[in-house]
Amino acid sequence: MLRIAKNLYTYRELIAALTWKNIVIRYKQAYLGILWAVLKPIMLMLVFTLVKGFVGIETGGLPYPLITFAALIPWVFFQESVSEGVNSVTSNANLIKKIYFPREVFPLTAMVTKLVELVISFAILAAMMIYYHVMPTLHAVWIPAFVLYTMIVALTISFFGAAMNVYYRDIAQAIPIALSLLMYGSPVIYPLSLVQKKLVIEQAAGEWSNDLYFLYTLNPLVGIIDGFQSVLIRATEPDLNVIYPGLILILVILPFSYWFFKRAESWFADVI
Amino acid sequence: MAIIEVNHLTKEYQLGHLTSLKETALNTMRRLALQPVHERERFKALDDVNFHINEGEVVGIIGHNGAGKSTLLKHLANISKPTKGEVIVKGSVAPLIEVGAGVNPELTGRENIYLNGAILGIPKKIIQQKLDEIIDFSELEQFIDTPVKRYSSGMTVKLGFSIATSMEADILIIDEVLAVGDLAFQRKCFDRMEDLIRRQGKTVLLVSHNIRQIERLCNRVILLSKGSVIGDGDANSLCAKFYQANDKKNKH
Repeated sequence: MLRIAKNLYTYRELIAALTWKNIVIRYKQAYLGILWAVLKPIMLMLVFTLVKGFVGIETGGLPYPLITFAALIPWVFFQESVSEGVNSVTSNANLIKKIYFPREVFPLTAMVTKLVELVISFAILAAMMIYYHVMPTLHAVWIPAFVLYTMIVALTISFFGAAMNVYYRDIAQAIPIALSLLMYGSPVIYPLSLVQKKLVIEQAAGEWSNDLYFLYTLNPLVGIIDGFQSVLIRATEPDLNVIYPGLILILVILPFSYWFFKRAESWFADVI
Repeated sequence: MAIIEVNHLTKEYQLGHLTSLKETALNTMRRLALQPVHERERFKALDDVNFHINEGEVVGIIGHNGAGKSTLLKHLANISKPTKGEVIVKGSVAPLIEVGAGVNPELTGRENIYLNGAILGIPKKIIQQKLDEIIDFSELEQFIDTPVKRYSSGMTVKLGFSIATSMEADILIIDEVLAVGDLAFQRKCFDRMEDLIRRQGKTVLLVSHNIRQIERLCNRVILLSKGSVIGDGDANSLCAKFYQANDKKNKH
């Protein structure tokens, strides 16, 4: 973990240069430019709001578009970081074969690129909060911690995925499908309170309800998204019981993911 | 004092594609049936290479196509890892292995100087200081703010070479990049190389098929053939030996 942070600092100029290149190239000849970055969460939010008109989802009195957008900000950041992170090594094949610098720069750059888009999304969220007359409170100081947590989750998957993708390109094909499924397994379209109501209170799955709930909270995104919604919209402290399982799981997996990446790195230039 | 040490370096590659699902399944069945398994053919690109290079030496590496020259340079630039043996490099390396690698066609020449400089590890401050010098050497002042995708191939190469040679490093590794650009530019590159070698005393490893150039620049030559070192010593005698070997090959 410390080594990742150290590399992030040592190679900060390179990461900045590559991030800047990624952003400039993607939006150079696009008329809307970087606005495209925020169109995704906005569009998804509009679609979900439309669907909610047909399907009943309880939101505890808060406007559905607002809490869904608050859920979409970390989700889209995570999804895009992982998608780009997993492809980051293979799409830079020419650099890998010609010059050496620690290869984790590639997933790190992918993530920093998406951080820029995250910041723009926050601006949109601020506009929405003004529209719905929801004020941010002091609880909002939790946000940087949650963003860092999301980054750690994205990196854990990116390191492993990017390294595997060099050998088995199936990974890049499977990631979009896996992420779609994960979105349904995370409280993006529906709030966590719905899951809690069904499993913990109503015990809808019978004996397995509490175990299923625990399994659900093992998904780090659950803690992140619910946390985002709590501190920004509901103006309460985040529910730590929901965060612990996912956090511990990720902190255990991250070192292995990084170790795997560094082991595989030696042969990238030969196989890519 | 040896700035580069190569001890018993061996590099093997596996030929063919990565084992597909079908092959893996068939191999499992063959193992169960106690039959020989189909393994991918192995190719020895480098076979027990040994040499030491001292600081300030200018070494040429020559050999036929496929002898292992570029593979050797990749190991020295830390791009590939050895299958067996070790490579010890005590100093910073400036790899001039296909100089256009980091150049992105969508960006302008100026933006590419910054990007490529960052990729080569040159701190931003130094790039800014040397910016004018780089643009001047590349002879592209008029086109420096146009996207590189509009450059001619010669222009792209001039830009790449210009950026790469502004990198300050102890060891320069040059893989056949002096053969690019028009005659005037080639002369300029050659002069810059000579300047780096004679006046600044850098250690240089030069791979080239231009044997005359090697004879002029290098005092020591390593001759590779099919992955092994078959000669290591005085430039003139080894180049002559190489010519003889080539003549023999052509006579048959």
